[in-house]
Amino acid sequence: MPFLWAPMWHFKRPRRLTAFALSVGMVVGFTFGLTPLCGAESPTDVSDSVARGKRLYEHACLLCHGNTGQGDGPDAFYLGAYSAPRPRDFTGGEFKFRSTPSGELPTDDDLYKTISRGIPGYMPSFRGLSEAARWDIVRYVKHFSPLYQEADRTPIALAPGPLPATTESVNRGREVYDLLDCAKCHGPQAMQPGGLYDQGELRDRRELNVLPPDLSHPSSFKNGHQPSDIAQSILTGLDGSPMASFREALTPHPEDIWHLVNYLLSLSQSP
Amino acid sequence: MTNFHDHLQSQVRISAYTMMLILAGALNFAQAENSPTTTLNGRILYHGLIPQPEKQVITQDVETCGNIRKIFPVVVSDDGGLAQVVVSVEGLSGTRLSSIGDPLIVQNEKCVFQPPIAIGSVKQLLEVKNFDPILHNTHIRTETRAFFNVVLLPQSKGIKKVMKQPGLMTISCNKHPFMMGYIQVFDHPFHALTDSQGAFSIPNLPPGTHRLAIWHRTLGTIHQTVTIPQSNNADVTIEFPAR
Amino acid sequence: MLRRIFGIFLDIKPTFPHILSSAFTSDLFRPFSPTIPVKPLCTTIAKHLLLLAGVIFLSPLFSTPEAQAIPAFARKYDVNCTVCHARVPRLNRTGERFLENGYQLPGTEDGDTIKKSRLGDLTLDDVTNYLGFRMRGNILQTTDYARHASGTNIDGNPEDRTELGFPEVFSLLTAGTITNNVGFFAEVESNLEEGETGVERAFVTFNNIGQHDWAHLRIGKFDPSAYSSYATLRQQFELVGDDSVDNGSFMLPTINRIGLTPAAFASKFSGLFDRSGTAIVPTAPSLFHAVAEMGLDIHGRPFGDWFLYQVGILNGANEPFGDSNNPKDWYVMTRFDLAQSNYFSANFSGFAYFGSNNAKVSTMADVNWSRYGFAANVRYDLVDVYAAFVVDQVTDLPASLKNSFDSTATGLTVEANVLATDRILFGIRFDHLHAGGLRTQRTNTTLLALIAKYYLRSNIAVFLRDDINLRQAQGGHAPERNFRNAFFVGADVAF
Ligand SMILES: [Cu+2]
Repeated sequence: MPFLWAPMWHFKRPRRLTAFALSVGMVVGFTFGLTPLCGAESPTDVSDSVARGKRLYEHACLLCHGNTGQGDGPDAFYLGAYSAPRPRDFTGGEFKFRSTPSGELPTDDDLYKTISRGIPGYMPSFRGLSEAARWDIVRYVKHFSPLYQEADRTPIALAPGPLPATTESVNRGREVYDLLDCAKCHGPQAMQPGGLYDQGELRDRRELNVLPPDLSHPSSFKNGHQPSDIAQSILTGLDGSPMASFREALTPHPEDIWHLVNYLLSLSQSP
Repeated sequence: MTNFHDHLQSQVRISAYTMMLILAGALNFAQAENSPTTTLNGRILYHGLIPQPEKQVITQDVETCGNIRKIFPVVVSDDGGLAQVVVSVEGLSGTRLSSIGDPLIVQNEKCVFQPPIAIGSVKQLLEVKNFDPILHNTHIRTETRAFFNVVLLPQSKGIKKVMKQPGLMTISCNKHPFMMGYIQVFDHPFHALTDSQGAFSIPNLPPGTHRLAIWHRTLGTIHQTVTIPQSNNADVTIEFPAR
Repeated sequence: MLRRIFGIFLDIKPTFPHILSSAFTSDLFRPFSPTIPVKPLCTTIAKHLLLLAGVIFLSPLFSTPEAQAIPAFARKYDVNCTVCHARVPRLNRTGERFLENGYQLPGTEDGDTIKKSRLGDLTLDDVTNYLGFRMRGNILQTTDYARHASGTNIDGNPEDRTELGFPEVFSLLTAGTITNNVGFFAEVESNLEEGETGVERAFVTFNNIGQHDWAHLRIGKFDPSAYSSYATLRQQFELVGDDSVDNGSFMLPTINRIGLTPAAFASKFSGLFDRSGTAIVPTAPSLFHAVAEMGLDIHGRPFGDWFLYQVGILNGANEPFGDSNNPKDWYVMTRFDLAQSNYFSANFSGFAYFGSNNAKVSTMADVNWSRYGFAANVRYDLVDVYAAFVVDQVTDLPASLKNSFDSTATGLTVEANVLATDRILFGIRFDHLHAGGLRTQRTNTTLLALIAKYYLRSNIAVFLRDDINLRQAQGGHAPERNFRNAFFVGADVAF
């Protein structure tokens, strides 16, 4: 079943290849079932792709994200009238789900991943579109912001992992949870919002209240609940929300990220 | 229709850029012609009402942050010199920065950003450090997006990042909502911050008539035109309108 | 015709100041008609208000701050109800396009992709991904009007009645996709009040025939108006069905409960009968706005998102099953969608429905009952306004009825909803019916309805609704003119 394994295979590609070459490779590779060919696309191919992406965007994305890409489509308000999240504003260049450091733009891979996976609770998965169509949308979404032209979008490096979820690892993860003051937002047991939420201090850039999710549900991990997804969210932060990047804080002990991930995942497994 | 509109907009934008480039080139040329440049010295005064300091009760990390935070909306010297005002020359954006200079350092010190108001340049390195024995969460935002939002370990070297876009950036700490700071970033070197006496100095200005933008955190922005004579330093005193 | 349209305003003029003044002196429920003396409702209403206030203030205790929805499509796509519903049951634009696309995400043909197991040539959903339940009804209803004396056409005495009635309607919904571009919907409804259980609607869809969004085919028992700017179903103001006792062939029915259907969608005529001779109540939704009719229709957006067409053919005999009459009814609808950003959207649609021998009059003669209308919907930020103006016409009347039967009727409905918070919705609806049919029976009505809804979760709502008669209450055969006020406290739960 090439359709089912193809996306997973895709996410394991080395991240050093430019996302551009990857996207081309992705389409070709899927069609022929071969390893990606790092060929170059002619400018006509790119503009055709953007044009196709525009048509797809107008059908599938516009109703929430708006035709100007500002996250102000006709349904945007109903999604988050008085609390976060509202649909993403593509023109501002601020993205939650990235493999790049805090404040940077997402890679093409990151955008493709969000379109394919969706965001539990708020955005459905668009796996129903062909992979080529999803890449067309990635290209079109990028056209909303000029910042993509010269941005350095190098993914951060992850410490080798994940580590086995032993009791010691989970316990160390719990220590890290306390050391990094995660409870201030996520609550002492990671299941109820913490003190800063109660004080009304957790807000996004539209001043909408941001509710820290109950981390004992896999669907709370909006960027995916695989260990590497959770590690990525903690290290890069979710820009636009109060969730900060813990990359600098974890630099002295990079392996701690995996202990923390093991602790968080243990919450949804315990009875 | 939309396409045409977009096209028109981009046309306008391109011509605006072209104009700016020509202007910048002309200015550079002028600078080369009149090699002696001048310095603008000045003072910003304020004789209006001075609001009472805002008091915030601190409930967490009190050993480091103290129990109460007094925030002074306006700080003036005895003779009315207004501190922490950012003065910049308008219409000179695009002027090549001669040197990017040392990194701009902002420290988390006793739960205060030091300096609370900072000025920086595009391409300059911003370094945020944490001197406190507690975690801080430094969240810097431009008007449209996060510059970064990073947790800093106690007494850590912190994080460095090059500033890329001009404009006002706000610094806050998600953990300590009473912490607040500002960085004004410019894409030219003609800007200054007033000292405790309200004095500032902008060197290397080309002679001619310039429009100054004068920004204060709580009093807002005013504009003033100054003329700098050939090869002569200029002195100005600008009064911030009373509120 | 013109006189009819303007008649709306002429007719209600004398009563408006009266209503407004009474509303603002909080004396709304004082009897203001000398013809029907009734005791004030103030005390009962006040009691209900207190009860609802109690429910609303206590409800946060039972709800966590996170609103997560459960029903079938939310389960299937792992999203909140508010991705497709402005607030349940009303659809937002995404929901409308999802419906148009045969229960596939807008722009996709994902009917065989999301949450499907593959077994040979079969693609199957988990059962939980296409089953839903809905329970709704009025926990409390207080109405006050003269019910007809049982089995006769004689007016009874006005009664102030308070009834408990939850759940009135329980439905089992199943909907989804069988495979790529093949969808289905079935709703089994059990109406506890009427003691009836049956298939309310059931149909299959074949989508994206030819090219994406060119043509979608629907076959079965469905609601024709589903894609128009103001659809019969999924209103914030739930249709309150009439409760009538049929008094035998070609006799007007005895009304035990007034039907609070949008005037635009109502049958509008007194003295019309279906082909079996059962009277059609003037407030029952019908024709293009029927809750369900057997037939097939095609719709699509071949030129882009701005334009939708719909053409359909129905039995249209107002019979539950089968068609005792050769000619069929058919309809055509077009819809235009404007503006897609800045939290703003608008659309308007026009339709024509051509009936053919689809009703009878008291002489047992077949007549043609047709309908034409416009509807529009504007949404901006937290406000959702929609309206429909509909003209009904009966042609081919027997000569004997030419003078006693008014062959034209109009209905106007304007509704607005506002989200006051993420959980509280306020709504207002204005209905004006310029009725047709037997001149001795037909009754024009003008109603105003108010609603306040509180969503404990995005799929659990309690509501308070009040329908007010804006005209002089009077006797006669139309209960919607007898009553002054109908008050409901209800709940609507989907899971
Ligand atoms: Cu801090």
